[in-house]
Amino acid sequence: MAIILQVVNRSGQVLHTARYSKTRIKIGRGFDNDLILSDPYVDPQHIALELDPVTQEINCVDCGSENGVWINRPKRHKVAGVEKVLSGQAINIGKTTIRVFTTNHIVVPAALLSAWEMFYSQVSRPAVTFLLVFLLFTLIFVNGYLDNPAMSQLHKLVPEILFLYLAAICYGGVWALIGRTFKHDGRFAVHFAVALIAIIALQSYRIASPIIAFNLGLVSGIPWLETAVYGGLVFAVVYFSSTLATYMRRAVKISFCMALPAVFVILRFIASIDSNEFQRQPPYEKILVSPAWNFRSGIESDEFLDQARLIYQNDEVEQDE
Amino acid sequence: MLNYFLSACILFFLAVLPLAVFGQSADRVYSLHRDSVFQIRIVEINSGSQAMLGSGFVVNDGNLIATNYHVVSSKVLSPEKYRIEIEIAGKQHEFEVLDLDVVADLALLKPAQINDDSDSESIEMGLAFQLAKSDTKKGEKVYSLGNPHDIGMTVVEGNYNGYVEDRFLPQIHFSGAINSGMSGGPAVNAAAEVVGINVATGGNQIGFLVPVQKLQELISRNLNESDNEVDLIVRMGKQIEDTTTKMVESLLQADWPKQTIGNANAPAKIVDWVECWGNSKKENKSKIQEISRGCNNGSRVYIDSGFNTGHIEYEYYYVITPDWPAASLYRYMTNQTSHALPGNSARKKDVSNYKCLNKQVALTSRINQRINFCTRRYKRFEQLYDVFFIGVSNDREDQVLMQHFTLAGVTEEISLAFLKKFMEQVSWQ
Repeated sequence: MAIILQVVNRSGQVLHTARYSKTRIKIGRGFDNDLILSDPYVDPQHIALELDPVTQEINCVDCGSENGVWINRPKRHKVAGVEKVLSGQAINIGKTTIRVFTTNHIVVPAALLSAWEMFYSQVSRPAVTFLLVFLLFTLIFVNGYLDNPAMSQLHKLVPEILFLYLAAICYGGVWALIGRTFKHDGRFAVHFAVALIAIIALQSYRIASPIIAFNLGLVSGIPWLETAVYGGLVFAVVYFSSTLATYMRRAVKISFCMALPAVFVILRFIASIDSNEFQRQPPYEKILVSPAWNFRSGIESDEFLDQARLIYQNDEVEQDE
Repeated sequence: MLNYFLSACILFFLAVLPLAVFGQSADRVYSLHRDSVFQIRIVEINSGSQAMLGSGFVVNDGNLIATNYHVVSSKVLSPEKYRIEIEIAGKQHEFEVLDLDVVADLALLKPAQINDDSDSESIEMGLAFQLAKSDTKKGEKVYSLGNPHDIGMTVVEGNYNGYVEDRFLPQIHFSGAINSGMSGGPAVNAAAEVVGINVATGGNQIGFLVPVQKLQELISRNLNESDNEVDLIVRMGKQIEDTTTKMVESLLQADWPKQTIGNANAPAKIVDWVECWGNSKKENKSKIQEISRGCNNGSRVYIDSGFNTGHIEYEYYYVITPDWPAASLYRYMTNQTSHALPGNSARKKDVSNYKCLNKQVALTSRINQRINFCTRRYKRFEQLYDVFFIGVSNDREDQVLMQHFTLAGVTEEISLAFLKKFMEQVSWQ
């Protein structure tokens, strides 16, 4: 028969677990205690936990401490002298939280290894990292070439390539640091790979977006599509990295990951308000794609003329000033 | 020796004679009419400061003053904000706009009807100018009168050079210095008859006059017309409408001569009154060849400082890149055709925002284009629109043809007729 104590931090993470095969355990800052704490708000002899070997009940005894002992359930209250503690309950002394268990306390079954674990181990393989680096390089090169097929301009891509790789490295580095802090698990290669995948997705989007926008006939919808793609990617990548590197709860994580996409949406919204202002340039469709990628069905010129009539019915004419 | 002496004498007289004649004429012209040319001041009522200066002169039976529309445009467009002031015989008088011709840039002013109209009758405006009946010959001496830069009444001598060539809206080319502030002043011949009205300068001794016939028409219309109550703004709208409709009709009636542009055919100069330009560029290094050409009517109808109309332009642009991937060519064309703007300027208070129709169109000339057609409506003249068209072919891997036009201040009917004809004028060879 023994008592198990877990010192946890404010977010419930276990900092230290110890098993005591005694019926009376002393807790405090003094070195004669069984559990020695360094919390300055804890008395040298703060409390004692007493285990009744027959009933398995634990009693918490306040040894006349300065700041008292607090128990959260059923309601947060101060222990007056002696109080019974149930296995699994947390007690607060000073600024320290301690969970108390008996040995027959049933722990939760093992969590299944996430399916992502496979992914983590795959993407952090050097071969995969190299492949992603190469793929990104190729995509930037292809995009640069399509922008300007005169080969002489390709050297201008160097700063762009360097910048993108540097950004991916910084991203991986920052998340590795966060992971090491919270989970003692850096995983730089995984975060770096995820950043590369996101940049690759953006480069592919640059190639695909004119084709999508043209074939869907999106004239003013493109900026929103762009915001959705960029915002979605940022959300996915940050969500992934924060899952890997922190213990954030889902709701907190979602709000955290929404921060940057929300800024995109707000900026786009502001821009769309501005576009209601007077525009000198007609809002005509600007995208062109090559015949091979043009799937839009055309109309005859007579039909075009019929439809042209309709745009003369301008509703916003009002006499102002 | 005697011969030599005689020749010298003759040369001397030939040289001096015109100077003597000019001295007499300019002097005579000025003295005859110095009391019939005035400075016109447009005063902003709230601040009491002048917003515009111009010149004007007495016409008809001495009861009207002629000037440019652009001198009094602010009064016409915002009558409650501005006042027209003319100093006659040392006394300020208020005038109002009786009639105008916005296209020719002319206005007729009459004394403002102040509560007791006995006062307005009594303004003694000086001797009315006679309008020249006969044609003026090219090269004839003409004297332009006005008050340039507010420095006092001035006579400028110059030559009559006939109508400016190839213009739909007639203007006279006057070789003399017309300066700001002289707008609306008369240009007279040696007999002191008005041959034109100062309107604009082209810099360096090139001036432009409104032909006197336009003023004659405006005055006679007012003498004949009993009902002058028609709103000035409505009249302006009708004048713009008539002019642009005539212009577009003249384009529609003309043959549209085709000319090659790369491997395609497109119209060239359609009528005499458009100015055309062309350019081509071949870059061996980047393996691209571009040809462009376009035409416009070279003049605009002024409505006010931020708003003009009556502009017509069309343009073709061809690009061939045999060695480029098709995707590059179309990316390049997306860039090149993304910045097209209307040919005239207008502000929020003048026009609505453009609305566009964007379609993929299979033209009967068997060329597939992405066509964008946009219109914006005028707020003051509701029957008028600016229309904007751009069509870019997207049916060939290595070459693209763009066609574009803008018409300013046109009706729905005439612009649709133009659209119908214009669209189908291009073809691949």
